[in-house]
Amino acid sequence: MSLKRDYAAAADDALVGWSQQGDTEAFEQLVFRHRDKIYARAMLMMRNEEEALDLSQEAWVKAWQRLHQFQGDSSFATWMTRIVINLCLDQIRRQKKTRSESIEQLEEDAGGVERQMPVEVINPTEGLEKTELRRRIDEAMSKLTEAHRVVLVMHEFEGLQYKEIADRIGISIGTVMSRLFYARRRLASLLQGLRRERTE
Amino acid sequence: MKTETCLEIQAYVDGELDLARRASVETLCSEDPTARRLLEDLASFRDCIQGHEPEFSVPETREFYWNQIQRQLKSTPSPSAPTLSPWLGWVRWLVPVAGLAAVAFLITLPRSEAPVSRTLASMTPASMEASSVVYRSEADGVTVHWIN
Repeated sequence: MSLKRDYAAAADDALVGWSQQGDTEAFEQLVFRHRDKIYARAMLMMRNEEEALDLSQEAWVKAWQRLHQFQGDSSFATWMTRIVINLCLDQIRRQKKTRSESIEQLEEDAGGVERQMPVEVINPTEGLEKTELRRRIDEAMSKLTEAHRVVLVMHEFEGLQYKEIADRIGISIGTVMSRLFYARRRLASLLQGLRRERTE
Repeated sequence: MKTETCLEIQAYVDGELDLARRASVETLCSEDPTARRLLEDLASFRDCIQGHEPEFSVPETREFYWNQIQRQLKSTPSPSAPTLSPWLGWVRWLVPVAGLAAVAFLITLPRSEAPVSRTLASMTPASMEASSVVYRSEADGVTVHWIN
């Protein structure tokens, strides 16, 4: 007779171990714990609720299939976000095949847009409450181009280095740096605009 | 300021530069107020963004979300049992069995060129002078000399 497993109280490591033995209840607990984070990462990348939902669920299925590969080198949450990021990148690549790159993006890759932007980067988030700040960042990010948003998410939120981003997206390190710089400046400018709108 | 210089300062803020290039950016920023301002703004902006990732909640109930995943898991093998093709499954069993068979075959190989048989026993006169009989069994490896 086996002891009943306390899934709610168990640590991620234990749940992963049980899941690796085929315990779907343990896996369900992992899904319950991390579903919002995984979905949020997909939302930030895709900016589309339906796509984010599908991709986040696909990520969980992929995770189940590859669970035996998880060695615990990183946390389970980090491992999961990498899976969902890869799925989002695959989806973006598929979508790109059916549409051409925007002129803005082509100019930016050539360094044209940066030259037209002022060097000064303002800090538009000073004195804002955390929730309000998150909301404004989200609003501003939705206005970034896909190419800039993806690099920004992978660097700022996923914590990947230039080279890792370049390898995953399939672009040069120089383009990563350029996109990141542009994205930051654009985001700062958008946040400043949002702040001005609300204070007027 | 050149775009390349801006990107170098950004790389400094992101911790992507080696010691020599870091020192070069530090020198630049100590001499150029515009460069220093850009460095400070980039650092401040990065810190601000990193701590405030927008949050989203799954727009479905826990049960509904899980049920959709679970349906797909049912058609997926258990993670503890990575799938092998039927052929690889057979090979996994065949290798040790074939090994055992080879060992068994080697053990039962005859040690001499003469045919081996349990019934193969011969009685031959060793020599007329000695008037003896030799019993020899190849299978048992036994030779008996019967001397009259």
